[in-house]
Amino acid sequence: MRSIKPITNSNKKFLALFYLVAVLGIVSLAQADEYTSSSFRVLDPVLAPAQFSTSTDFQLFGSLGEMGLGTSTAIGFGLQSAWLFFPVVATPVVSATAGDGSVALSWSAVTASLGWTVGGYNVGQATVAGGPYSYTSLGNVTSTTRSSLTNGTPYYFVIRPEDALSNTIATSSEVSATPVSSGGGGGGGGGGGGGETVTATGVNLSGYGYPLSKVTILKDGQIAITTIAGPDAKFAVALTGLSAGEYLFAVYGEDNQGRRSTLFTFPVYLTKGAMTNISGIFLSPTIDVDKREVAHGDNIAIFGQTVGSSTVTIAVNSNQEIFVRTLAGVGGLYLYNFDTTLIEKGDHTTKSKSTVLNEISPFGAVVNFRVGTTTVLAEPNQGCPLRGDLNSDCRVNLIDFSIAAYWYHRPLTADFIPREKAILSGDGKVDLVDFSIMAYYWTG
Amino acid sequence: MQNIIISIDPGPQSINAIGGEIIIPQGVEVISIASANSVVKFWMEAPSLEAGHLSLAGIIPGGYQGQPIELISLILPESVPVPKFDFSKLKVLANDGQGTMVTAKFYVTVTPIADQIITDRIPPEEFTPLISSDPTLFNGQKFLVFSAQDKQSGISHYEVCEKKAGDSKFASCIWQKNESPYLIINQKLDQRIEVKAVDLVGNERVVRAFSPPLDPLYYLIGAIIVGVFILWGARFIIRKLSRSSRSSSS
Repeated sequence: MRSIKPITNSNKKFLALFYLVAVLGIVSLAQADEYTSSSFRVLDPVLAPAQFSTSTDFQLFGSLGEMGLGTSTAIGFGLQSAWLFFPVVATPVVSATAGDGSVALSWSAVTASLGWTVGGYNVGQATVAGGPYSYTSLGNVTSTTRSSLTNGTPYYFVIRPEDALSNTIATSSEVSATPVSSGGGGGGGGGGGGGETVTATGVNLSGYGYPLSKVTILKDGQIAITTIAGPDAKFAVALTGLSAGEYLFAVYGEDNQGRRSTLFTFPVYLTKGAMTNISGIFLSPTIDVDKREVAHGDNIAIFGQTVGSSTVTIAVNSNQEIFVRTLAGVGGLYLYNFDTTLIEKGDHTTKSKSTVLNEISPFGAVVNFRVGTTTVLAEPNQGCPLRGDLNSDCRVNLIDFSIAAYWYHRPLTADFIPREKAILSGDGKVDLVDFSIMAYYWTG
Repeated sequence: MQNIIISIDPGPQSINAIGGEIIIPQGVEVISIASANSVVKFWMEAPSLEAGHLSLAGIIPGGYQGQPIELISLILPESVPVPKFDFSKLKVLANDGQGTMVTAKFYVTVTPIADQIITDRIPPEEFTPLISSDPTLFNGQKFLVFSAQDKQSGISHYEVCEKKAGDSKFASCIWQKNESPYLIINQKLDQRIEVKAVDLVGNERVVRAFSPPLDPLYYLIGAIIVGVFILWGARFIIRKLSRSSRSSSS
């Protein structure tokens, strides 16, 4: 039987020295030399800078803000530090409508922040689901028609927004369409009488809501259909029997506590006799806090629901915006105990967004809280809109619009004034501002 | 004729309310105004023209952010040069829950007059009227609200039919032009109410706004009829089975 020799003191010293030399060696290799350039970019993070970089014209993307003690100067560049928490853009929602030998694509305009600007879009096209795609640069547009396609062959598309330096900064989910030959033969129309029947004009919508939660789709501001997302938070619905023309679709979800997401709206032009596929809808997480006011130095819980096992980025506004990350559970619930020592006393807001695989939701609703000297617990969210609900039925829809429209530019009576104060702008009259508030909290 | 499309470009923000006036130069003849494909879905003031002032006010539920999109379109005579509109009196509000005023750009484009307006045979879309009541409206009495869309020529007007109590259920409807919100005459709601949306070329869509619940007697009669059929069917099957078993044993 083999015996195990004990480690002697000299061996321990040797091992300690070895590890020390190894660490110092790695650190020294990782140090960046001072570098200057009239025009270049550095994308890799610098681990132990203690150096500085100067240039007349460059952008340095690194983690200097996290670890560095160096300085960076330039006549004209942007330093975006804390790259580990660097917010990225939301993925666009794409619609595809098949035509004769062609597919018309349109997508929601992507907004970027914190140094990113969208410079243009690429469209990826494949004949196999999942790619590989061949990409074409389109410039800064939000629609394109892919032509010279084969009727009867399914095509698969993705849209990639690029930054100003032509770097891809997001990829949409895949959308597909199969070009079809336009109706042939004979004279169309003819025959007398009646109305024309529109068939097979509609839209397929799909995306992420919350696990096993209700998803509501509005068509031009009114409820068109509701569905329930699957355990994986995915949903898919079809609306048929529509006319050709411009529509404004809006989607929102309700989480397991009845909290509603913000409305995800996008315009779609429907072509007569064609089903338009819209994919990549990704509802923002719901969000709430456990305290309306928190004593400085205590924690405040920020929580909500989103896609299960997704990465949730929470932004807390302060003099400088602070970003933290947490993982949602399998059921999509997330919670983060935020330490208020990181922010100053006063009024603050928080919002969140979610990332799963390559898809990113927009930031959702903004929640207010105050950092002061006392703690005031928040009342449980009833799931009703905070404002705009004039008839208190927990919805903001055509009924509330009609009530407000009656008072539009009319002197308010004594019994309506308190409602205007509590539910609308509170300025004692019903005008465009009140309707704007209503439109923001709209539920259909 | 020429179709002048006025589009709004919200820029980087999301907007949800537009109101005010578009000033049209003196002497410009406007044949008609259309909002069938407008990004605005509900109008507090439907676009209307008076003495060169085109007034409008409406909202975009949920807001809009993106490329320039149609606000309204005007039909002008063919030979008229495109007018220089004044948009300075239009207010645009952000979709931020506060009604913050923001700036937006407006564009004017000329397109060929759409044949679809002339040959429109498609009725307005399905819509769902809603019944409600409010202490500050109609002294708390029940009223009906409705709003339809027509993507081809636009909505012209609405008509409502209420069958009064005592009318035969086979009596035809008497349609009357009305607007939303509509004060329901039959507050007992014991007869059906129908709403008709009519587009600019006369196509119609009729939807039922309300149906009173069925008399329980009808449910009883229905249950008796179904019960009779079930019993008859069961008797038929039992007879068939007993005949087969007799013939197989003999």
